[in-house]
Amino acid sequence: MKVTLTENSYPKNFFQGRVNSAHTEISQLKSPLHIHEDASEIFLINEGSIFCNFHIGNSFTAEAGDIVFINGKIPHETVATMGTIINFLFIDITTLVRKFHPQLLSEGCITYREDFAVFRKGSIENTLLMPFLKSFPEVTSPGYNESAIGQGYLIIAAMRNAGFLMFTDSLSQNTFDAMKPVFEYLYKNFRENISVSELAAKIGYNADYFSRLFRKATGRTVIDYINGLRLSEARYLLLNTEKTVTEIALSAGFSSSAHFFKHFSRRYSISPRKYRSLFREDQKQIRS
Amino acid sequence: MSPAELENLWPKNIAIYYRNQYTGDSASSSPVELHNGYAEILQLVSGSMLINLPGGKSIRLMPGDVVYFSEPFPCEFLAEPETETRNLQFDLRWFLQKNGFCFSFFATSEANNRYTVFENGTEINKQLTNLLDIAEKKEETKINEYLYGAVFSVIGLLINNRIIRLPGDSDYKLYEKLASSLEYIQENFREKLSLEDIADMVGYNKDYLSRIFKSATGMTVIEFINNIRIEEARYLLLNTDKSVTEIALEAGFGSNAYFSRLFRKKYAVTPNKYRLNSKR
Repeated sequence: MKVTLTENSYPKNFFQGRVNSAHTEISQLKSPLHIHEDASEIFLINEGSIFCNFHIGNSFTAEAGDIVFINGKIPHETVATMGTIINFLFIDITTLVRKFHPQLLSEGCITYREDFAVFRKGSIENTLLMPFLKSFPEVTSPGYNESAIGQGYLIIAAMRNAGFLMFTDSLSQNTFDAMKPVFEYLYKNFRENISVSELAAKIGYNADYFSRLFRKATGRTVIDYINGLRLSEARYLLLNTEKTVTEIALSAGFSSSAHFFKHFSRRYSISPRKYRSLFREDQKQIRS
Repeated sequence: MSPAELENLWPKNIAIYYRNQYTGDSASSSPVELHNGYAEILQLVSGSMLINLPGGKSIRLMPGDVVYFSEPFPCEFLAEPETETRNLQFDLRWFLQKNGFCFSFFATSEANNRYTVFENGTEINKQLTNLLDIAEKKEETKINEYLYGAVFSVIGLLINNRIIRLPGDSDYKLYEKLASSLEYIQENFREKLSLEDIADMVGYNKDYLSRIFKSATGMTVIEFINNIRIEEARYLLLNTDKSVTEIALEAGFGSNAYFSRLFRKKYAVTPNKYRLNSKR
Protein backbone atom coordinates (compact mmCIF):
# COMPACT_ATOMS: atom_id res chain seq x y z
CA MET A 1 0.00 0.00 0.00
CA LYS A 2 1.43 3.32 -1.00
CA VAL A 3 0.30 6.20 1.13
CA THR A 4 1.83 9.62 1.05
CA LEU A 5 1.44 11.34 4.36
CA THR A 6 2.51 14.76 5.35
CA GLU A 7 2.82 15.50 8.97
CA ASN A 8 2.13 19.01 10.01
CA SER A 9 4.15 20.54 12.79
CA TYR A 10 1.10 21.88 14.51
CA PRO A 11 -1.41 20.77 15.52
CA LYS A 12 0.06 17.34 15.75
CA ASN A 13 -1.78 14.61 13.94
CA PHE A 14 -3.08 16.76 11.19
CA PHE A 15 -2.47 14.55 8.18
CA GLN A 16 -3.94 14.58 4.80
CA GLY A 17 -3.46 12.43 1.82
CA ARG A 18 -4.86 10.37 -0.95
CA VAL A 19 -4.90 6.60 -1.00
CA ASN A 20 -5.33 4.66 -4.15
CA SER A 21 -5.79 0.93 -3.74
CA ALA A 22 -5.19 0.29 -7.41
CA HIS A 23 -1.50 0.89 -6.84
CA THR A 24 -1.24 -1.72 -4.13
CA GLU A 25 0.03 -5.19 -4.78
CA ILE A 26 -2.64 -6.91 -2.77
CA SER A 27 -6.04 -7.02 -4.34
CA GLN A 28 -7.68 -5.35 -1.40
CA LEU A 29 -6.64 -2.45 0.74
CA LYS A 30 -6.94 -3.62 4.29
CA SER A 31 -6.13 -1.87 7.56
CA PRO A 32 -6.42 -4.33 10.44
CA LEU A 33 -8.03 -3.31 13.73
CA HIS A 34 -6.33 -0.13 14.93
CA ILE A 35 -6.75 3.10 16.88
CA HIS A 36 -5.21 6.57 16.69
CA GLU A 37 -3.83 8.51 19.58
CA ASP A 38 -5.58 11.84 19.00
CA ALA A 39 -6.87 11.92 15.50
CA SER A 40 -10.25 11.50 13.96
CA GLU A 41 -10.40 10.21 10.46
CA ILE A 42 -12.54 11.73 7.79
CA PHE A 43 -12.53 10.65 4.18
CA LEU A 44 -14.29 11.05 0.91
CA ILE A 45 -14.58 8.03 -1.35
CA ASN A 46 -13.87 9.11 -4.91
CA GLU A 47 -14.16 5.70 -6.50
CA GLY A 48 -14.84 2.19 -5.25
CA SER A 49 -16.20 1.25 -1.86
CA ILE A 50 -15.04 0.66 1.69
CA PHE A 51 -16.20 -1.75 4.34
CA CYS A 52 -15.60 -0.67 7.90
CA ASN A 53 -15.92 -2.86 10.94
CA PHE A 54 -15.98 -1.89 14.60
CA HIS A 55 -15.22 -4.24 17.37
CA ILE A 56 -18.60 -3.65 18.97
CA GLY A 57 -20.22 -5.52 16.11
CA ASN A 58 -21.20 -2.42 14.15
CA SER A 59 -20.16 -2.18 10.55
CA PHE A 60 -21.04 -0.30 7.41
CA THR A 61 -20.21 -0.12 3.73
CA ALA A 62 -19.67 3.23 2.09
CA GLU A 63 -19.74 3.90 -1.64
CA ALA A 64 -18.30 6.48 -4.01
CA GLY A 65 -19.51 9.98 -3.08
CA ASP A 66 -20.03 9.07 0.58
CA ILE A 67 -18.09 10.77 3.33
CA VAL A 68 -17.03 8.75 6.36
CA PHE A 69 -16.24 10.02 9.83
CA ILE A 70 -14.48 7.83 12.38
CA ASN A 71 -13.53 8.86 15.89
CA GLY A 72 -10.00 7.44 15.81
CA LYS A 73 -10.11 6.47 19.46
CA ILE A 74 -12.59 3.72 18.70
CA PRO A 75 -10.94 0.52 17.43
CA HIS A 76 -11.82 -0.02 13.80
CA GLU A 77 -10.71 -1.91 10.72
CA THR A 78 -11.32 -1.10 7.08
CA VAL A 79 -11.26 -3.03 3.83
CA ALA A 80 -11.41 -1.34 0.44
CA THR A 81 -12.30 -2.93 -2.84
CA MET A 82 -9.84 -2.97 -5.72
CA GLY A 83 -9.59 0.40 -7.43
CA THR A 84 -10.84 2.46 -4.52
CA ILE A 85 -9.59 6.00 -4.29
CA ILE A 86 -10.14 8.09 -1.18
CA ASN A 87 -9.23 11.59 -0.04
CA PHE A 88 -8.58 11.43 3.63
CA LEU A 89 -7.74 13.73 6.45
CA PHE A 90 -6.66 12.98 9.98
CA ILE A 91 -7.72 15.78 12.18
CA ASP A 92 -7.18 16.33 15.87
CA ILE A 93 -10.50 17.97 16.63
CA THR A 94 -9.85 18.49 20.35
CA THR A 95 -6.60 20.39 19.79
CA LEU A 96 -8.01 22.53 17.01
CA VAL A 97 -11.14 23.40 18.93
CA ARG A 98 -9.30 24.29 22.09
CA LYS A 99 -7.17 26.89 20.33
CA PHE A 100 -10.20 29.11 20.09
CA HIS A 101 -12.23 27.75 22.97
CA PRO A 102 -9.82 27.45 25.89
CA GLN A 103 -12.89 27.20 28.09
CA LEU A 104 -13.63 23.79 26.63
CA LEU A 105 -11.37 22.16 29.13
CA SER A 106 -11.32 18.67 27.79
CA GLU A 107 -12.55 16.34 25.19
CA GLY A 108 -15.53 15.83 27.49
CA CYS A 109 -16.82 19.24 26.40
CA ILE A 110 -17.10 18.13 22.79
CA THR A 111 -19.95 15.79 22.01
CA TYR A 112 -20.14 13.74 18.84
CA ARG A 113 -23.54 12.59 17.79
CA GLU A 114 -21.91 9.30 16.84
CA ASP A 115 -18.40 7.89 17.10
CA PHE A 116 -18.53 6.96 13.46
CA ALA A 117 -20.87 7.85 10.65
CA VAL A 118 -21.40 7.62 6.95
CA PHE A 119 -22.63 10.86 5.47
CA ARG A 120 -24.37 9.52 2.40
CA LYS A 121 -24.12 11.27 -0.93
CA GLY A 122 -26.78 13.99 -1.04
CA SER A 123 -27.25 14.34 2.73
CA ILE A 124 -26.87 17.73 4.46
CA GLU A 125 -23.61 16.74 6.12
CA ASN A 126 -22.24 15.45 2.85
CA THR A 127 -23.14 18.64 1.00
CA LEU A 128 -21.60 20.82 3.67
CA LEU A 129 -18.36 18.85 3.96
CA MET A 130 -17.79 18.06 0.29
CA PRO A 131 -16.17 21.35 -0.81
CA PHE A 132 -13.66 21.24 2.06
CA LEU A 133 -12.67 17.64 1.45
CA LYS A 134 -12.34 18.07 -2.28
CA SER A 135 -9.98 21.01 -2.38
CA PHE A 136 -6.94 20.14 -0.37
CA PRO A 137 -4.22 22.76 -0.40
CA GLU A 138 -1.03 21.77 -2.20
CA VAL A 139 1.14 20.00 0.37
CA THR A 140 4.55 21.36 -0.54
CA SER A 141 3.52 24.95 -1.12
CA PRO A 142 4.23 27.78 1.28
CA GLY A 143 1.22 28.62 3.39
CA TYR A 144 0.17 24.98 3.40
CA ASN A 145 0.19 24.90 7.18
CA GLU A 146 -2.26 27.75 7.53
CA SER A 147 -4.46 26.53 4.69
CA ALA A 148 -4.62 23.03 6.15
CA ILE A 149 -5.63 24.36 9.52
CA GLY A 150 -8.20 26.59 7.86
CA GLN A 151 -9.51 23.47 6.16
CA GLY A 152 -9.69 21.72 9.52
CA TYR A 153 -11.81 24.51 10.99
CA LEU A 154 -14.11 24.53 8.00
CA ILE A 155 -14.70 20.82 8.44
CA ILE A 156 -15.45 21.32 12.12
CA ALA A 157 -17.79 24.19 11.21
CA ALA A 158 -19.66 22.08 8.68
CA MET A 159 -20.01 19.24 11.17
CA ARG A 160 -21.36 21.60 13.81
CA ASN A 161 -23.68 23.15 11.29
CA ALA A 162 -25.12 19.74 10.50
CA GLY A 163 -25.55 19.03 14.20
CA PHE A 164 -22.96 16.28 14.23
CA LEU A 165 -20.63 17.98 16.69
CA MET A 166 -21.76 19.90 19.74
CA PHE A 167 -19.73 22.07 22.07
CA THR A 168 -20.83 22.90 25.56
CA ASP A 169 -20.37 26.56 24.71
CA SER A 170 -23.17 26.44 22.19
CA LEU A 171 -25.40 26.96 25.23
CA SER A 172 -26.77 30.36 26.02
CA GLN A 173 -24.16 32.61 27.57
CA ASN A 174 -26.07 32.69 30.85
CA THR A 175 -26.28 28.95 31.22
CA PHE A 176 -22.65 28.63 30.30
CA ASP A 177 -21.57 31.30 32.78
CA ALA A 178 -23.52 29.58 35.52
CA MET A 179 -22.02 26.20 34.70
CA LYS A 180 -18.45 27.33 34.09
CA PRO A 181 -17.26 26.96 37.69
CA VAL A 182 -18.75 23.48 37.69
CA PHE A 183 -16.83 22.43 34.58
CA GLU A 184 -13.66 23.89 36.03
CA TYR A 185 -14.20 22.17 39.34
CA LEU A 186 -14.92 18.86 37.63
CA TYR A 187 -11.86 19.11 35.47
CA LYS A 188 -9.63 19.66 38.49
CA ASN A 189 -11.28 17.14 40.78
CA PHE A 190 -12.62 14.30 38.68
CA ARG A 191 -10.09 11.96 40.28
CA GLU A 192 -11.84 12.38 43.65
CA ASN A 193 -15.22 11.22 44.81
CA ILE A 194 -17.82 13.75 43.66
CA SER A 195 -21.53 13.78 44.40
CA VAL A 196 -24.21 15.63 42.46
CA SER A 197 -25.61 17.41 45.52
CA GLU A 198 -22.14 18.65 46.43
CA LEU A 199 -21.72 20.08 42.92
CA ALA A 200 -25.14 21.70 42.91
CA ALA A 201 -24.38 23.33 46.26
CA LYS A 202 -21.23 24.87 44.79
CA ILE A 203 -23.25 27.15 42.57
CA GLY A 204 -26.20 27.36 44.92
CA TYR A 205 -28.66 25.24 42.95
CA ASN A 206 -31.07 22.59 44.01
CA ALA A 207 -29.75 19.13 43.04
CA ASP A 208 -32.68 18.26 40.76
CA TYR A 209 -32.61 21.54 38.92
CA PHE A 210 -28.86 21.26 38.60
CA SER A 211 -29.06 17.77 37.10
CA ARG A 212 -31.58 18.93 34.53
CA LEU A 213 -29.48 21.95 33.62
CA PHE A 214 -26.38 19.81 33.33
CA ARG A 215 -28.15 17.38 31.10
CA LYS A 216 -29.29 20.22 28.90
CA ALA A 217 -25.79 21.68 28.81
CA THR A 218 -23.82 18.57 27.97
CA GLY A 219 -26.36 16.08 26.74
CA ARG A 220 -25.20 13.73 29.49
CA THR A 221 -25.81 13.06 33.15
CA VAL A 222 -23.30 14.33 35.70
CA ILE A 223 -22.07 10.82 36.43
CA ASP A 224 -21.64 10.04 32.73
CA TYR A 225 -19.72 13.24 32.28
CA ILE A 226 -17.39 12.55 35.20
CA ASN A 227 -16.81 9.02 33.95
CA GLY A 228 -16.03 10.51 30.54
CA LEU A 229 -13.29 12.66 32.07
CA ARG A 230 -11.94 9.68 34.00
CA LEU A 231 -11.94 7.49 30.91
CA SER A 232 -10.11 10.04 28.85
CA GLU A 233 -7.49 10.40 31.60
CA ALA A 234 -7.19 6.61 31.89
CA ARG A 235 -6.89 6.29 28.14
CA TYR A 236 -4.07 8.83 28.14
CA LEU A 237 -2.25 6.93 30.89
CA LEU A 238 -2.72 3.62 29.09
CA LEU A 239 -1.14 4.93 25.92
CA ASN A 240 1.58 7.06 27.47
CA THR A 241 2.76 5.32 30.65
CA GLU A 242 3.76 1.83 31.80
CA LYS A 243 1.39 1.80 34.77
CA THR A 244 -0.71 -1.30 35.35
CA VAL A 245 -4.42 -1.27 34.60
CA THR A 246 -5.28 -1.30 38.31
CA GLU A 247 -2.98 1.63 39.04
CA ILE A 248 -4.49 3.55 36.16
CA ALA A 249 -8.03 2.81 37.25
CA LEU A 250 -7.38 4.18 40.73
CA SER A 251 -5.36 7.23 39.67
CA ALA A 252 -8.03 8.23 37.14
CA GLY A 253 -10.64 8.18 39.91
CA PHE A 254 -12.45 4.88 39.36
CA SER A 255 -13.36 3.11 42.59
CA SER A 256 -12.01 -0.24 41.40
CA SER A 257 -10.38 -1.82 38.41
CA ALA A 258 -13.54 -3.84 37.76
CA HIS A 259 -15.52 -0.62 37.57
CA PHE A 260 -12.95 0.85 35.19
CA PHE A 261 -12.91 -2.30 33.09
CA LYS A 262 -16.67 -2.20 32.69
CA HIS A 263 -16.75 1.45 31.60
CA PHE A 264 -13.75 1.18 29.36
CA SER A 265 -14.96 -1.89 27.52
CA ARG A 266 -18.35 -0.33 27.01
CA ARG A 267 -16.86 2.85 25.57
CA TYR A 268 -14.05 1.39 23.46
CA SER A 269 -15.44 -2.09 22.85
CA ILE A 270 -12.22 -3.85 23.93
CA SER A 271 -10.43 -4.34 27.23
CA PRO A 272 -7.90 -1.73 28.44
CA ARG A 273 -5.04 -4.20 28.09
CA LYS A 274 -6.01 -5.11 24.53
CA TYR A 275 -6.41 -1.43 23.71
CA ARG A 276 -2.91 -0.68 24.92
CA SER A 277 -1.38 -3.51 22.91
CA LEU A 278 -3.29 -2.48 19.78
CA PHE A 279 -1.84 0.98 20.06
CA ARG A 280 1.69 -0.25 20.77
CA GLU A 281 1.64 -2.58 17.76
CA ASP A 282 0.47 0.27 15.61
CA GLN A 283 3.29 2.49 16.86
CA LYS A 284 5.85 -0.25 16.22
CA GLN A 285 4.64 -0.56 12.65
CA ILE A 286 4.85 3.17 12.09
CA ARG A 287 8.41 3.22 13.39
CA SER A 288 9.61 0.22 11.40
CA MET B 1 -3.11 44.58 29.90
CA SER B 2 -0.36 43.03 27.81
CA PRO B 3 -1.14 41.10 24.64
CA ALA B 4 -0.12 37.93 26.46
CA GLU B 5 -2.68 38.49 29.19
CA LEU B 6 -5.27 39.51 26.68
CA GLU B 7 -4.77 36.28 24.83
CA ASN B 8 -5.97 34.34 27.81
CA LEU B 9 -9.29 36.11 27.79
CA TRP B 10 -12.25 34.84 25.88
CA PRO B 11 -14.24 35.39 23.85
CA LYS B 12 -11.92 37.65 21.97
CA ASN B 13 -12.63 39.35 18.72
CA ILE B 14 -9.62 38.21 16.78
CA ALA B 15 -11.60 38.31 13.56
CA ILE B 16 -14.62 40.25 12.41
CA TYR B 17 -16.72 40.00 9.29
CA TYR B 18 -19.27 42.62 8.29
CA ARG B 19 -20.97 44.35 5.40
CA ASN B 20 -20.80 48.09 5.07
CA GLN B 21 -23.36 50.12 3.14
CA TYR B 22 -22.63 53.63 2.00
CA THR B 23 -25.88 55.50 1.43
CA GLY B 24 -26.75 59.08 0.60
CA ASP B 25 -27.30 61.06 -2.55
CA SER B 26 -23.83 62.41 -3.07
CA ALA B 27 -20.56 60.60 -2.77
CA SER B 28 -20.05 59.86 0.90
CA SER B 29 -16.72 59.53 2.53
CA SER B 30 -15.47 58.20 5.79
CA PRO B 31 -12.40 60.36 6.17
CA VAL B 32 -9.95 58.09 7.88
CA GLU B 33 -10.24 54.47 8.83
CA LEU B 34 -7.74 52.42 10.72
CA HIS B 35 -9.04 48.87 10.55
CA ASN B 36 -9.03 48.46 14.35
CA GLY B 37 -5.37 47.58 14.24
CA TYR B 38 -6.01 44.46 12.16
CA ALA B 39 -5.16 43.28 8.70
CA GLU B 40 -8.13 43.53 6.39
CA ILE B 41 -9.68 42.01 3.29
CA LEU B 42 -12.18 44.32 1.65
CA GLN B 43 -14.36 43.49 -1.32
CA LEU B 44 -16.49 45.93 -3.22
CA VAL B 45 -19.89 44.29 -3.68
CA SER B 46 -21.58 47.07 -5.63
CA GLY B 47 -21.06 50.70 -6.54
CA SER B 48 -17.68 52.29 -6.87
CA MET B 49 -15.05 53.38 -4.41
CA LEU B 50 -11.93 55.46 -4.32
CA ILE B 51 -9.41 54.85 -1.58
CA ASN B 52 -6.88 57.61 -0.94
CA LEU B 53 -3.70 56.34 0.65
CA PRO B 54 -1.20 58.41 2.57
CA GLY B 55 1.44 59.81 0.27
CA GLY B 56 -0.96 60.84 -2.48
CA LYS B 57 -1.61 57.43 -4.04
CA SER B 58 -5.12 56.15 -4.59
CA ILE B 59 -6.94 52.98 -5.59
CA ARG B 60 -10.13 52.82 -7.64
CA LEU B 61 -12.21 49.71 -6.88
CA MET B 62 -14.79 48.19 -9.21
CA PRO B 63 -17.44 45.69 -8.08
CA GLY B 64 -15.86 42.32 -7.27
CA ASP B 65 -12.39 43.76 -6.67
CA VAL B 66 -10.68 42.75 -3.47
CA VAL B 67 -8.01 44.72 -1.62
CA TYR B 68 -5.81 43.41 1.17
CA PHE B 69 -4.38 45.78 3.76
CA SER B 70 -1.51 44.14 5.61
CA GLU B 71 -1.46 46.60 8.46
CA PRO B 72 -3.49 49.47 9.75
CA PHE B 73 -2.71 52.87 8.33
CA PRO B 74 -4.97 55.80 7.74
CA CYS B 75 -6.72 55.99 4.39
CA GLU B 76 -9.67 57.90 3.09
CA PHE B 77 -12.64 56.05 1.63
CA LEU B 78 -14.80 57.82 -0.94
CA ALA B 79 -17.85 55.89 -2.03
CA GLU B 80 -20.55 56.56 -4.60
CA PRO B 81 -24.14 56.24 -3.35
CA GLU B 82 -25.44 52.65 -3.22
CA THR B 83 -21.99 51.31 -2.59
CA GLU B 84 -21.61 48.18 -0.52
CA THR B 85 -18.46 46.49 0.74
CA ARG B 86 -17.80 43.41 2.74
CA ASN B 87 -14.90 43.34 5.12
CA LEU B 88 -12.95 40.66 6.93
CA GLN B 89 -10.59 42.02 9.56
CA PHE B 90 -8.26 39.84 11.54
CA ASP B 91 -5.36 40.04 13.91
CA LEU B 92 -2.69 38.55 11.66
CA ARG B 93 -0.06 38.25 14.37
CA TRP B 94 -2.45 36.50 16.68
CA PHE B 95 -3.38 33.93 14.05
CA LEU B 96 0.21 33.24 13.12
CA GLN B 97 1.14 32.88 16.75
CA LYS B 98 -1.78 30.56 17.38
CA ASN B 99 -0.40 28.42 14.65
CA GLY B 100 2.88 28.00 16.45
CA PHE B 101 4.75 30.47 14.33
CA CYS B 102 6.43 32.15 17.25
CA PHE B 103 8.31 34.77 15.29
CA SER B 104 5.15 36.15 13.80
CA PHE B 105 6.58 39.65 13.84
CA PHE B 106 8.71 38.48 10.93
CA ALA B 107 5.70 38.31 8.72
CA THR B 108 6.30 40.96 6.13
CA SER B 109 4.62 41.89 2.93
CA GLU B 110 6.12 41.82 -0.51
CA ALA B 111 8.28 44.88 -1.15
CA ASN B 112 6.80 46.40 1.98
CA ASN B 113 3.48 46.85 0.26
CA ARG B 114 0.83 47.68 2.78
CA TYR B 115 -1.94 46.94 0.35
CA THR B 116 -2.49 44.65 -2.60
CA VAL B 117 -5.37 44.79 -5.07
CA PHE B 118 -6.81 41.61 -6.59
CA GLU B 119 -8.91 42.53 -9.57
CA ASN B 120 -12.16 40.81 -10.31
CA GLY B 121 -11.66 37.79 -12.56
CA THR B 122 -8.21 36.75 -11.37
CA GLU B 123 -7.73 33.31 -9.82
CA ILE B 124 -6.78 34.59 -6.38
CA ASN B 125 -9.74 36.99 -6.43
CA LYS B 126 -12.02 33.98 -6.99
CA GLN B 127 -10.50 32.12 -4.07
CA LEU B 128 -10.73 35.14 -1.77
CA THR B 129 -14.37 35.66 -2.81
CA ASN B 130 -15.08 32.03 -1.85
CA LEU B 131 -13.48 32.55 1.53
CA LEU B 132 -15.50 35.73 2.13
CA ASP B 133 -18.63 33.70 1.33
CA ILE B 134 -17.58 31.20 3.96
CA ALA B 135 -16.88 33.92 6.52
CA GLU B 136 -20.37 35.21 5.82
CA LYS B 137 -21.78 31.82 6.76
CA LYS B 138 -20.75 32.62 10.32
CA GLU B 139 -23.38 35.36 10.46
CA GLU B 140 -26.04 32.96 9.37
CA THR B 141 -25.04 29.97 11.51
CA LYS B 142 -23.31 31.64 14.50
CA ILE B 143 -20.60 29.01 14.14
CA ASN B 144 -17.27 30.72 14.74
CA GLU B 145 -15.25 27.98 13.08
CA TYR B 146 -16.44 29.23 9.69
CA LEU B 147 -14.73 32.52 10.47
CA TYR B 148 -11.53 30.99 11.86
CA GLY B 149 -11.35 28.57 8.95
CA ALA B 150 -11.83 31.37 6.45
CA VAL B 151 -9.15 33.53 8.09
CA PHE B 152 -6.58 30.72 8.26
CA SER B 153 -7.29 29.86 4.64
CA VAL B 154 -6.94 33.51 3.61
CA ILE B 155 -3.59 33.68 5.39
CA GLY B 156 -2.49 30.44 3.74
CA LEU B 157 -3.51 31.74 0.34
CA LEU B 158 -1.70 35.03 0.85
CA ILE B 159 1.43 33.26 2.01
CA ASN B 160 1.16 30.96 -0.98
CA ASN B 161 1.00 33.96 -3.28
CA ARG B 162 3.89 35.66 -1.50
CA ILE B 163 1.73 38.53 -0.35
CA ILE B 164 2.54 37.65 3.23
CA ARG B 165 6.09 36.44 3.61
CA LEU B 166 7.29 34.12 6.31
CA PRO B 167 10.85 32.93 6.58
CA GLY B 168 11.33 30.06 4.16
CA ASP B 169 13.04 26.77 4.93
CA SER B 170 16.51 28.03 4.21
CA ASP B 171 16.00 31.02 6.47
CA TYR B 172 14.99 28.82 9.35
CA LYS B 173 18.62 28.00 10.10
CA LEU B 174 19.23 31.69 10.52
CA TYR B 175 16.19 32.07 12.75
CA GLU B 176 17.40 29.25 14.91
CA LYS B 177 20.67 31.06 15.38
CA LEU B 178 18.79 34.20 16.22
CA ALA B 179 16.23 32.59 18.50
CA SER B 180 17.89 33.48 21.79
CA SER B 181 18.54 37.10 20.75
CA LEU B 182 14.93 37.42 19.66
CA GLU B 183 13.66 36.07 22.93
CA TYR B 184 15.93 38.43 24.79
CA ILE B 185 14.68 41.40 22.75
CA GLN B 186 11.08 40.31 23.14
CA GLU B 187 11.46 40.28 26.92
CA ASN B 188 13.57 43.40 27.32
CA PHE B 189 12.60 45.84 24.58
CA ARG B 190 10.99 48.13 27.16
CA GLU B 191 14.43 48.73 28.69
CA LYS B 192 17.41 50.44 27.15
CA LEU B 193 19.00 47.94 24.75
CA SER B 194 22.13 48.13 22.70
CA LEU B 195 23.62 45.81 20.11
CA GLU B 196 26.56 45.18 22.47
CA ASP B 197 24.23 44.11 25.31
CA ILE B 198 22.43 41.63 23.12
CA ALA B 199 25.61 40.23 21.59
CA ASP B 200 27.07 39.78 25.10
CA MET B 201 23.91 38.18 26.34
CA VAL B 202 23.77 35.51 23.66
CA GLY B 203 27.51 35.10 23.26
CA TYR B 204 27.94 36.21 19.65
CA ASN B 205 30.41 38.66 18.27
CA LYS B 206 28.47 41.88 17.61
CA ASP B 207 29.46 42.19 13.97
CA TYR B 208 28.39 38.63 13.32
CA LEU B 209 25.09 39.22 15.11
CA SER B 210 24.27 42.33 13.16
CA ARG B 211 25.13 40.57 9.90
CA ILE B 212 22.86 37.57 10.45
CA PHE B 213 20.18 39.86 11.82
CA LYS B 214 20.18 41.92 8.70
CA SER B 215 20.06 38.94 6.38
CA ALA B 216 17.26 37.26 8.32
CA THR B 217 14.99 40.21 8.92
CA GLY B 218 16.13 42.79 6.43
CA MET B 219 16.43 45.22 9.32
CA THR B 220 19.23 46.34 11.59
CA VAL B 221 18.95 45.33 15.23
CA ILE B 222 17.95 48.86 16.22
CA GLU B 223 15.32 49.13 13.49
CA PHE B 224 13.96 45.82 14.58
CA ILE B 225 13.74 46.83 18.24
CA ASN B 226 12.11 50.12 17.31
CA ASN B 227 9.56 48.26 15.25
CA ILE B 228 8.56 46.13 18.22
CA ARG B 229 8.40 49.25 20.39
CA ILE B 230 6.17 51.03 17.90
CA GLU B 231 3.82 48.05 17.77
CA GLU B 232 3.67 47.91 21.55
CA ALA B 233 3.04 51.67 21.68
CA ARG B 234 0.35 51.41 19.03
CA TYR B 235 -1.28 48.69 21.07
CA LEU B 236 -1.20 50.89 24.18
CA LEU B 237 -2.55 53.86 22.21
CA LEU B 238 -5.56 51.93 21.07
CA ASN B 239 -6.24 50.04 24.27
CA THR B 240 -5.36 52.32 27.17
CA ASP B 241 -5.94 55.92 28.20
CA LYS B 242 -2.30 56.62 28.97
CA SER B 243 -0.73 59.80 27.63
CA VAL B 244 1.52 59.65 24.59
CA THR B 245 4.57 60.50 26.71
CA GLU B 246 3.80 57.74 29.17
CA ILE B 247 3.34 55.31 26.32
CA ALA B 248 6.59 56.37 24.64
CA LEU B 249 8.52 55.71 27.82
CA GLU B 250 6.70 52.51 28.63
CA ALA B 251 7.37 51.08 25.18
CA GLY B 252 11.07 51.74 25.65
CA PHE B 253 11.61 54.92 23.64
CA GLY B 254 14.02 57.38 25.21
CA SER B 255 11.79 60.35 24.52
CA ASN B 256 8.40 61.35 23.24
CA ALA B 257 9.92 63.27 20.34
CA TYR B 258 11.84 60.25 19.06
CA PHE B 259 8.75 58.06 19.38
CA SER B 260 6.53 60.55 17.55
CA ARG B 261 9.02 60.89 14.74
CA LEU B 262 9.27 57.14 14.16
CA PHE B 263 5.54 56.68 14.52
CA ARG B 264 4.80 59.32 11.93
CA LYS B 265 7.27 57.76 9.59
CA LYS B 266 5.41 54.45 9.77
CA TYR B 267 1.78 55.49 10.09
CA ALA B 268 1.80 58.91 8.43
CA VAL B 269 -0.03 60.57 11.36
CA THR B 270 0.95 61.61 14.88
CA PRO B 271 0.22 59.17 17.72
CA ASN B 272 -2.48 61.49 19.09
CA LYS B 273 -4.23 61.79 15.76
CA TYR B 274 -4.00 58.04 15.29
CA ARG B 275 -5.72 57.45 18.59
CA LEU B 276 -8.43 60.02 17.87
CA ASN B 277 -9.15 58.55 14.46
CA SER B 278 -9.59 55.07 15.81
CA LYS B 279 -12.04 56.30 18.45
CA ARG B 280 -14.34 58.00 16.06
